[in-house]
Amino acid sequence: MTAVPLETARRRGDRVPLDILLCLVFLGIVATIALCAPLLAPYDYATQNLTARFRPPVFWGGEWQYVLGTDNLGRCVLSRLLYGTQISIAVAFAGALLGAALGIVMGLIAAHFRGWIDDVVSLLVDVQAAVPTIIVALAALAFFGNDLVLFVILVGMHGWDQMARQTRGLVLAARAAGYAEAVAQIGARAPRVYFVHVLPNIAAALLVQVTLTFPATILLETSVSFLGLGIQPPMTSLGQMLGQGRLFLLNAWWIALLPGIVIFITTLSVSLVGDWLRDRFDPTLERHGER
Amino acid sequence: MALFLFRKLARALLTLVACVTAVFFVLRLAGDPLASLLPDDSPQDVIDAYRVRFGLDRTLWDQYVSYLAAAVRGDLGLSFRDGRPVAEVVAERIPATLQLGLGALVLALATGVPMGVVAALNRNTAIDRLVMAAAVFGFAMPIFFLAILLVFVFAMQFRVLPSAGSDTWAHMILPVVVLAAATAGKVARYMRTAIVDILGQPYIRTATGKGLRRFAVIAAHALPNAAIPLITFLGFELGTLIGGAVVTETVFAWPGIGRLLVVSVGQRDLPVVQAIVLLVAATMVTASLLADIVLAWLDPRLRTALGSRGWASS
Repeated sequence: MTAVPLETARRRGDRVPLDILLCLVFLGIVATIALCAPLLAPYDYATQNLTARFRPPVFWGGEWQYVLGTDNLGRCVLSRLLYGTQISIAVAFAGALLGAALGIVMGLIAAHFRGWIDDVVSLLVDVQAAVPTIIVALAALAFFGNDLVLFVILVGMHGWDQMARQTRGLVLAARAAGYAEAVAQIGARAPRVYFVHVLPNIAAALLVQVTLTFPATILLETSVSFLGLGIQPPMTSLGQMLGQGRLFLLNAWWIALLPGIVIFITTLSVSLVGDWLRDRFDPTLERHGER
Repeated sequence: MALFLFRKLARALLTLVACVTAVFFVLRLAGDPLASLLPDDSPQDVIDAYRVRFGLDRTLWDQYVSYLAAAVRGDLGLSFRDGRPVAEVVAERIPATLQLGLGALVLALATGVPMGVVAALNRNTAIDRLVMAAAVFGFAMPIFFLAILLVFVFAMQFRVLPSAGSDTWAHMILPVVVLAAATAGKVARYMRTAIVDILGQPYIRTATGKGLRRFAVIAAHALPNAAIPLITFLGFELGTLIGGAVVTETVFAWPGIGRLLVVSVGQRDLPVVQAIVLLVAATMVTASLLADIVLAWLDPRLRTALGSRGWASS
């Protein structure tokens, strides 16, 4: 099923542009960090060393003992950065998968049943679109109390409405294309038609959609953690490091600015790669739907 | 047009009722409201008395109906924190948020539209790439990071602007810039695509062919046509602005709705939180309704297309 887009790419013949290549390399590093943070980190992320508080990074006159300096409790900023990246990426990734799955199922249901079920799904999409996800997330954390599983689910709600919209449109188009009808006519039941035949055909477009909403998913996680309402200590995340580090901005800028730079380059890279994928594989995807 | 208006209005009301319903049931799912209101060791008769007082002894359906009726009247209960009516607590924060939001919207349009037009007119040149790089920078930049970066540079290093508060006009500059950045970037990108698209249209060739100057062609023919889809786009962007206001107001201690929301979530002041959720939903639904009406008024072809089914509004 993935052979289709790859072939298209080869036929167009052009190489991956340099900026996209750089983005992909950076995302590769981020993915490696997310997978092996405990192996890479020189210290534990929560180990405090109160005799070594606010040590500057090496390039700012610090020592090699703490390459990126230490924070207000003498914790190694490099180690916290690695673990924080792991948590942030894991939460955003789980959330993005959850949102995509929910959106695809809702879109399929709407497109399959049409009629009043279609109307109900479209109403749910409207309700979701009527309240920005960050507000929903904050409200739910107030109602239910802070909880990691709940937080992942809330992050996952981001973008399901656009995914449902996209899936519904693509499935309707696929049904009109005839092959789905043909498979159904030779006796395949609905789940088989959708999951074996239709989904692989629209997977490339859906993947592009996931890539386009992923930066916003990362930003949602980091924003809520930044406000101190997401990932709670002793766990850490990039947003939380920034939120706590901003109190020491004047004397120890590295505590807040370093995680900020990681978040920025990550979201920038995913955005650029997403745009590139869209222009490449599916120029007809709407541009203004992004939020 | 009358049928179109009716359909749109009915749809907006239905969405709002669905929002209120969702909030009501989520609140009930969240557990016994009395558990967070009364101390853990309250005697049973006190709990029962409060149960009757808040109407929690009635059936769920009864509670739902009276909740809906109260919400329509704008009666959203009392704040857990200071016992004042929630409507009052929330209403006094609205002007600050409006000031911030409108400022950011105006700034975003004032920078984003010219950027997009300049990029489109110089398509595939160094100018285009530079402007679009700035646009991508604007919307990929996490809003809280931009806020901290600007505070670091302008409030701490150069000490030219205040870092928090809302006392003078100078206090507005940083929050408005921070909130506008993402929207400005997206508007620029959006305008570029729209203008490039429009410049290929036959009516632009006609306008150029009859001898109009370049400026007149752009100002009189290209821009008005690009403005129509921009309205739909801004309807979507309102959500980004509201979400961004939550972070911006918190960083800059701006006394608006967003700051109130974060504080209320921290203190689990549920009546205030739900009132803000409903206020945001009502604002978004109204804005999207207005956008649809303005669009239909500008472009009659959309009256049938937009009015037909809920999904068409994408």
